[in-house]
Amino acid sequence: MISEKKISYISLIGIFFIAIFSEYFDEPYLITLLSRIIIFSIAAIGLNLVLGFGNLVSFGHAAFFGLGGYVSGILAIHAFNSELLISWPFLFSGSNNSIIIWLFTILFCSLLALLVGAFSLRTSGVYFIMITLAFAQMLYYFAISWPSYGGEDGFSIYVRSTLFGINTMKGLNFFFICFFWLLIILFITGKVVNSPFGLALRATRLNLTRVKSVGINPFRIQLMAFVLSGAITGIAGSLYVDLNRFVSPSLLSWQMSGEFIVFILIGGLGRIYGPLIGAAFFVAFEQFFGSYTEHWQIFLGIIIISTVLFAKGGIIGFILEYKKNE
Amino acid sequence: MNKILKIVNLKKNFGAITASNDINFCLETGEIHALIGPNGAGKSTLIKQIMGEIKQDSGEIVLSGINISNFKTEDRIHLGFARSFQITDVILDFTILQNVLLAKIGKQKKYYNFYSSIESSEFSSEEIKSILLKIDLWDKKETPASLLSHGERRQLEIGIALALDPQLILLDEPMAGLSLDKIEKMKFIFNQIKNEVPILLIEHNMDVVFSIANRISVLVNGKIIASGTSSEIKTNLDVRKAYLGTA
Repeated sequence: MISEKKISYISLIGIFFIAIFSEYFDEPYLITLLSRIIIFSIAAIGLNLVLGFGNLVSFGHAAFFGLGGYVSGILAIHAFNSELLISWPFLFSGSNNSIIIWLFTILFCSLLALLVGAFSLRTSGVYFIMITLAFAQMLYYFAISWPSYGGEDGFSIYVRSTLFGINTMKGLNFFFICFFWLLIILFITGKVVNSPFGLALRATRLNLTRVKSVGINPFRIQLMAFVLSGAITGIAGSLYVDLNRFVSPSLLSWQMSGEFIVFILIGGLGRIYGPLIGAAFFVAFEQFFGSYTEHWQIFLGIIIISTVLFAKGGIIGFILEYKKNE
Repeated sequence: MNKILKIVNLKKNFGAITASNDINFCLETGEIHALIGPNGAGKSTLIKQIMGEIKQDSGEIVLSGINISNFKTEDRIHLGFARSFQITDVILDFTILQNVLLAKIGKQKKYYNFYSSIESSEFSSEEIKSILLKIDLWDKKETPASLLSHGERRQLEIGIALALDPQLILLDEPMAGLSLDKIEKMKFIFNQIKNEVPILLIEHNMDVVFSIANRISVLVNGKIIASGTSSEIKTNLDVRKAYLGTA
């Protein structure tokens, strides 16, 4: 009998060993791909918390991904050039310490999520989609017109940030860092979803009147979930910038938000491991079909349509259903 | 007898229409108090004022000595109001246990707990078990509410209300659409729980009202025209004239 847990563990262990083998057979490109899969899935896990469990279709999660990226990139580039970032009330010229970068990322992305959530959660349905998109687009156009940090071209950060003296420039080491983050994030979301808070969040998705009638304020529950979600997606942005050693406004683009939603839909909406499966599928698909034609997204479109029509539970749901009928 | 809920000189007008005309009435410990009246008598308006969903023009609502006339619905719920809706309103995708747990979490303000598992002993306590036993759904606790029959959903509603550890329960037509044996079951459940928490019952089924209510108040045109035991109400002339239709 195959369960959701089994699929999840198999995929985690699979990714881990593919990375080890890639190192052994000297395929650094494959390791980079795996790191990308992991980073994308962290971003989508963040989104899934509100989209899958709270039914809040945020079409602006690129804002958190991009902000995480920019915060990390700006801290790193200032540290690299020994340029002052702020001169008052104390002197601060960025940092290339991963821990500090991550703390700043979490702080800024949580604050942004608090702001965006406080406004957008007063609406619902299509209005919620549009207002989250609007916030992300605002940041996108701001980034494009911000010459100090490369404007439309973005900027390079040359070296990855450092963590406990690990050589992060080595692909496999950086993969381990990403993998470790993935485990943390999966653990946290697993905990949260099964906690009393998670139960309340899942209830807001299903029946608002009932939630209110047992004395729970749905707005606050949704806002907390949104903040947590934004912080998680922000961490992914930070890792992504470190992986590519490059920051660009495209991190903030609406296509990015759309891709996160696609990962979730393909993998399985409202399933903790859904985004991981979805992102892995997406990246592998892009690599495979992308090598034949630059119009590979046509095939992706077919996949998305079939998922929505025939496999509403995404890949995970499809496997579980198939095994049940066997 | 302790007065749990006291309503004093409650008035509410909608333009020229008087929905609540100087209503006085109380709910005491250990009783089922039925509120009856023909359609349009102002029952719903009265319940909405009690729940704080609409505000009275004048008068007072007192819960266990606290004047809650100006409290919001949310605060009233936290103080101990539990209400079962006219339209069955359980969360269909949740199991029976999850539905009751959600209410418990709301009541105990545990909804900012991000770390404990809802399956842990902290939440699946004896208390939850005793509630599920009372509503006779313990054996089905892992069943999603969507698979329950109409009557079982009603039972679940009562369970949710009990999980809120209320001072009183408001039941809005709990017997509507139930089969005869389900009605008997509900009557049994109500008689069991009324000693723990008094019940304010709005119900159209007169047989039910006369068989389980300890006291009955009759609301006609926004005014309570009679209040008493079932035999008193049955023999009250005003009631017969205005409500039961036989003079």
